[in-house]
Amino acid sequence: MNFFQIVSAAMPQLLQGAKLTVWFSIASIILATVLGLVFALLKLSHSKISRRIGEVYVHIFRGLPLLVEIFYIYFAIPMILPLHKWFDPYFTPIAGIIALALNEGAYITEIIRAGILAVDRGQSEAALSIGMTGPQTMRFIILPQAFKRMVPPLVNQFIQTIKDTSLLSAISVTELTRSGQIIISTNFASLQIWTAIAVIYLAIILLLTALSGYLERRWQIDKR
Amino acid sequence: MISVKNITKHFGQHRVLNNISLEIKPQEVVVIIGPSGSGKSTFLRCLNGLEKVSDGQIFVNNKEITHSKTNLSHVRKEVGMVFQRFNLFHHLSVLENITIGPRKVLKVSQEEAEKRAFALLEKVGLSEKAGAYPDQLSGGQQQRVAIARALAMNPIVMLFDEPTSALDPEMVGEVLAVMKDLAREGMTMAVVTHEMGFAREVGDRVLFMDDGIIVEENTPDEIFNNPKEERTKLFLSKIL
Ligand SMILES: Nc1ncnc2c1ncn2[C@@H]1O[C@H](COP(=O)(O)OP(=O)(O)OP(=O)(O)O)[C@@H](O)[C@H]1O
Ligand SMILES: [Mg+2]
Repeated sequence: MNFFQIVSAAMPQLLQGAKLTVWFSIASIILATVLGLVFALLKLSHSKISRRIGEVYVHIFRGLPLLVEIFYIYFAIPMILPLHKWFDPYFTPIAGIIALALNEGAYITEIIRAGILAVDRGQSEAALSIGMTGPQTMRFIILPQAFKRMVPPLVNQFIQTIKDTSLLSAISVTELTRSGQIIISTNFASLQIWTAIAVIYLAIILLLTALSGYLERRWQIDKR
Repeated sequence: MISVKNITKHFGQHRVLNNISLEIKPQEVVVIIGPSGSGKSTFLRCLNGLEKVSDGQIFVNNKEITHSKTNLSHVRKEVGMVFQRFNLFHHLSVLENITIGPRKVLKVSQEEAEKRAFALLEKVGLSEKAGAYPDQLSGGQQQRVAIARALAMNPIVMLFDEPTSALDPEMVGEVLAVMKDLAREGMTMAVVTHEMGFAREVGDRVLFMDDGIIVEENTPDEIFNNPKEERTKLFLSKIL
């Protein structure tokens, strides 16, 4: 069999894996962004306890290797809390998404925090001076301006998240990488299959880059 | 209207305001002058709670704003502020800059808010700029929008912190003209400025601040022509 025959025979299974990769990426990106926003606001809060909570979160989840976090949630925590029973049969995907989201969320916390801090203080003072509350100021004045600055680093982090889903192969999530490993274990065509996998990853990431470029250009035109 | 009783403000060890008291009556225009670093901005910012006093009391319309239980956003609705650097919301159009306060804070309908915004734009001479973004406007235009934004809340008093000192000279007049109109309509105003023409024309009182205290206060004519204190004389000799 030549290269194309091998790859096209494996394609249905690879695309199935790619589909999972995309779903895992989307789910953990959404969850990570929510976590990032919450912990960024905690880190910027007036309350010392809130700030400390935000700092501890970032230190822990940015400080550990992602694979260790995945193993910790998947293998270690069920030793004291039978999560795998409660969430059976969905424990594996849930653990995978949570581990990814907690890790990426720590980086996103810092991205969002930096974006908020980069907005001129005069903006929030002006908002407060017309009687807006703190939350209103954040929502209507600061975040919309911070968000535009955050798009490039966020897209970077989303790309990182997509790549990091490959680590979920270690807990038997049959995403793209693991699908490839399974195929290779029967046909031994390492070169062909890994090449196909690489191309699919690049395609997914190219798609995301194109989408973000398009969105950025549209916002530039709409909102200056 | 505004009553300031013995306020003191520290930044760390640094005492920026030192036991200041002041009454501002309805419809009065008070002009505050003084050298850089004398505490003028800090004083003004205490009047709407953007800066917390270390000691003393401030009453706005008989409400004590220095009380820890006071809801400052309720107070700030009624106290307009205009900043040296305009601080227009960069991501919003001129119209949205003016309507966002009434809509989100006063819960006025969009239609109602826009109607009023157009009237205010007319007043500050910028009707045709409603759809523009702040970055597309000159400094003088931005400052006039900022005044309209503050007025949209129907404030009972307006605070101006060097509203013309970030402007190119040819734009100072257009902003002062709007402020003079306001003063003539009876708006209560506290204005930090070194525009002596403005002070003479519409100012009821001039305060000279130095080193965190009010060194001298008097009518514009008295203070400019006949200052009593040495420090006032020295300062005026530098700027006049
Ligand atoms: N947030 C702050 N933290 C620490 N010190 C401050 C702060 N704001 C102002 N100061 C200090 O307080 C003093 C008074 O400042 P303020 O801005 O009120 O003076 P000003 O009279 O408005 O001067 P200018 O004419 O330059 O605007 C200055 O010495 C300044 O360095
Ligand atoms: Mg100042």
